[in-house]
Amino acid sequence: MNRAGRLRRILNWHEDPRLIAWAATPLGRLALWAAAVLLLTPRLRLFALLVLSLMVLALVFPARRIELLALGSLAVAYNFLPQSARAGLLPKLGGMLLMFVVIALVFRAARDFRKLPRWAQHHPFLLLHAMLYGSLLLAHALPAERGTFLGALVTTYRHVVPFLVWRCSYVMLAGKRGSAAKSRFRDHFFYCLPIWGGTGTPIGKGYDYFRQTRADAPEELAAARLSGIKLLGLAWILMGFRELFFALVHGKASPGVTAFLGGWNLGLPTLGGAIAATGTRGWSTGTLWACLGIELISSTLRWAISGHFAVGIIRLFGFRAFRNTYRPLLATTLVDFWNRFYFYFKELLVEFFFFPTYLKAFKSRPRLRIFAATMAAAGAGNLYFHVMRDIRHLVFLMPPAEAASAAATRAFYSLLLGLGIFVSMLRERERRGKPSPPHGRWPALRRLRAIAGVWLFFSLLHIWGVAPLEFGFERRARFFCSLFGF
Amino acid sequence: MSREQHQARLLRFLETIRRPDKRVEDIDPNENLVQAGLIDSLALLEIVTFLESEFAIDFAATGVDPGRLTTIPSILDLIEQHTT
Repeated sequence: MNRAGRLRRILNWHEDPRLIAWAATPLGRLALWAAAVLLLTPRLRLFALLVLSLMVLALVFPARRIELLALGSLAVAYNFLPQSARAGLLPKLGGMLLMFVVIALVFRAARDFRKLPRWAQHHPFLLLHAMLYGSLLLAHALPAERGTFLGALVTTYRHVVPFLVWRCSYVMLAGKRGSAAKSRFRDHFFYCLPIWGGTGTPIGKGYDYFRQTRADAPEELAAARLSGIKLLGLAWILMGFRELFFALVHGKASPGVTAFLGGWNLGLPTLGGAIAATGTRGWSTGTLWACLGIELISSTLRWAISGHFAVGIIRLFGFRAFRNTYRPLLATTLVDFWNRFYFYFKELLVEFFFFPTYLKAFKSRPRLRIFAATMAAAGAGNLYFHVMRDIRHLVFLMPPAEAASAAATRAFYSLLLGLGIFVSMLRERERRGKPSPPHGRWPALRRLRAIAGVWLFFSLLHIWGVAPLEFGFERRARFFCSLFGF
Repeated sequence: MSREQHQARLLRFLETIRRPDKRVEDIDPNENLVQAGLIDSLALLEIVTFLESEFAIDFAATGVDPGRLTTIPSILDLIEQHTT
């Protein structure tokens, strides 16, 4: 075996058949659990107790893992209660019951999808989102008196709906596909309030994906669990790297790391800091460009770390889920970067916006068909996701002009992303099925140039996506001009 | 048309969209086509178009589950489900 082969074997240690066979034994399972204790406890703290207790039971009774995960979801529901809803038993129970009812109603509609009125079957997501977001806006408009039962319900609803919207959409998607018809409530409950946490984007998607990725044979289960341990380990390595990276470039680190570096750092601002200071600080053009690259690395690390922890837990429960982030900084095309940067967000846009458009519009005109579907997903869907995520901020907290500017910024971001992905998709499509072009004399250089192009596009794109919303369009545009000395 | 005939047509089609460095006959029949590196994830669109045009499958009512387009047996199941 050559050096590259040996390296590949070391990096893919979790695929070693002997190790997998050992991990399927009782002793191997105990070792997996011990590794999970070491890797999860420092990150999840108290919540690790719950995850690890369920995990040990799932190691012994893998056929019951859905029930165990659903049991964990009850604790997640409790954890989700806002502080103001935790005064007294009745508000707590009411808040948890409310979450339960929302998910149960959506499940009922999904299970009996073919019995829904025709218009509801044609536009299930439109209807679901109109109901959830409509009621959310109503909940924001209602007074929520602290300490009262009704106040607790209102604050819980405000808190939980943004988290549930896309998870409930996956429940409904299973209904539309017909797969929910024979499913049970707990088959959906566990991913609506998942013990691996997350944001509004569902890591692990929904019912169909969990069904497809579920490992059942002992060796398959062991392989999935080993890959989960590997992912958790990788997350810790990336956390260490991020700590060092932030210390080096921004001077932000724990005292130990700062002391290790002797207090030395590049003193570069974050992209957000640089945009905030546009026109007031005289940073060199080189510094501003460096901020862009650093932001791309930082955001990649952020999503990779949180995604690895979530997917790591999912895999430890015996599901062969894809990684959320897989080496995006080595992508050589825009579409490949988008696929690898935040897989589950891309999947959400593909399943709820891309495919529905692709299947209905411009069937006889392939390029226009791809354009419409891409703009529906990366453009309109992306804009919709973020505007609705920030709806409370935009409608209730920001002055109208500022809110309009923030929405325009996101629209511009989505438009650029959509166009970039479309062009990249067309180029990929033209290349598909053809023999590889000759590499020429400098294949590594060509590859580096392609990677640099991807970095440039997404770094510049981040100017329009970096938080906070209050930056607005104009300030970001001024920052963009300052990159070229204007 | 039998499952074998469907499979032959599907394999001929996959040959036209595969990555240049991979061959259809090199992958395990149950392997995930994207994970095995035979096709990229965008090629799933080509598979949808192929199923629409060759087998007159209309996905508009039920939608597409990308997970069902990633292995040869699951694509064949999909064809059978829509054509029988």
